[in-house]
Amino acid sequence: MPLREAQAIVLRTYPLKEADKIVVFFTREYGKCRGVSRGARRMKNGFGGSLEPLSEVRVGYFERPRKDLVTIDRCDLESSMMQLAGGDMTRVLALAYIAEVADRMLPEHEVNDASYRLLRLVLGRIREGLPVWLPLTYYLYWMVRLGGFMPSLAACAGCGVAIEAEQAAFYAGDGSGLRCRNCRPRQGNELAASERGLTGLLARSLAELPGDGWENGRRGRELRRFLHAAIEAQIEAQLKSWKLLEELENEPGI
Amino acid sequence: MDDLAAPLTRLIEELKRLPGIGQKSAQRVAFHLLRADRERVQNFADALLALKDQLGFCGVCQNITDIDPCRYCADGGRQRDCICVVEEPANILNIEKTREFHGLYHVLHGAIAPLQGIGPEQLRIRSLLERLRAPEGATPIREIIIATDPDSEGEATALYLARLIKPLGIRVSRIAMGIPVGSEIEFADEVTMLKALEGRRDL
Repeated sequence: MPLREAQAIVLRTYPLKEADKIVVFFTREYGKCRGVSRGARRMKNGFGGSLEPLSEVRVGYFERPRKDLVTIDRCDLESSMMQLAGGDMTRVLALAYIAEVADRMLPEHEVNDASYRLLRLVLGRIREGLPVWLPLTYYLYWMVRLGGFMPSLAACAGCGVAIEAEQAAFYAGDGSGLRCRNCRPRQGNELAASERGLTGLLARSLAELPGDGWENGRRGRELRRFLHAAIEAQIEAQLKSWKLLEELENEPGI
Repeated sequence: MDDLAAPLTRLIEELKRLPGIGQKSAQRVAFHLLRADRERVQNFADALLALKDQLGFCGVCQNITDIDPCRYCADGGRQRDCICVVEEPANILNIEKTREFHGLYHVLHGAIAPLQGIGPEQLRIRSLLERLRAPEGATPIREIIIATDPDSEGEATALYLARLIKPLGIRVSRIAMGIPVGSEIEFADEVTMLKALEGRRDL
């Protein structure tokens, strides 16, 4: 049972037995892993606040032969999600959604340096105080691109005709891609030209992007819905935290 | 399992559904009950059924109780202008053990957990808000103490409640977080230490 050490980001935890937790964490060196942290739910435990979702940690764990679950030996906190959220409900829900997208999209034990760097970059920019809607939209855009299932924004998925930059385009909630007016799905939403144009912005480095205009959830809302539909279609499952985030987005003043 | 009598197999299967009980523990409990005298087993079965037959939710605070309103809500000696909000009924026992809190309670029966799809509408928040709109002549609520768990879900719930309650002009406070009594600062992580510093008090 060799001890492995890695930089990791905690994605989520589940209660196990009386006082233990199953922890899903994403390491740069070994990909996504699942492990048991014994006694993590007790008042006095060696893990402290390090196992909260999206905490950046240095984790030490033992792998067991022919076992999927590793045994977490220690977990040193480097940056906490609770500080990241900063007492803001929008951030709490956006961070939960980011954690869920990462957890559902990343396969286990598969090294994915680009996704790791993306997640760290996004969390870093949120920590710096960038309005959360920009890093959230950036994260979705790049997770879809890195996953290799970005729907074409230039051609109709139904008839293949080119969709010009200023033309209206539509999409259904099933992630089946962008459609022209003629192929418009019956219960579809419009992805306005201005929203499609954001992808040019998001293709740049997040470090270069200013947060102006992203203070509320209006900008990029339809693009996020479009990308979210693509992700759900890809993973063939619903992301549970999306509903709460959408409810918050629809509140006046958000 | 095929070698065991059907009633014994059935009991073992039922016991295995309980948290923390596996095959071996279930077998041990089943054989223990088999060896016990009938009266004891009857008492055990009655106690289990009484849980379902005699317990319900308090119409005021949503605590689990056999009388409505529960003994905390019915106790005229308690401070009626302060409500402590907890996630689970079991949390009340821990707070009562301190003998320092003399106000009322409200049980949410969970916390907002975005990753599990649990939103505010699945918690007993509406009944809390109804309590805050005190009828004419009743003692108005002056403070809500939010005693949800100090994790991301408990924090999300606390933030949500504060957003709802603060505009009503009611003081909203959160229980302190930080270093557990008996532990050592040397082993505290940065977020625990930060919370401890934020929650410091004058001596």
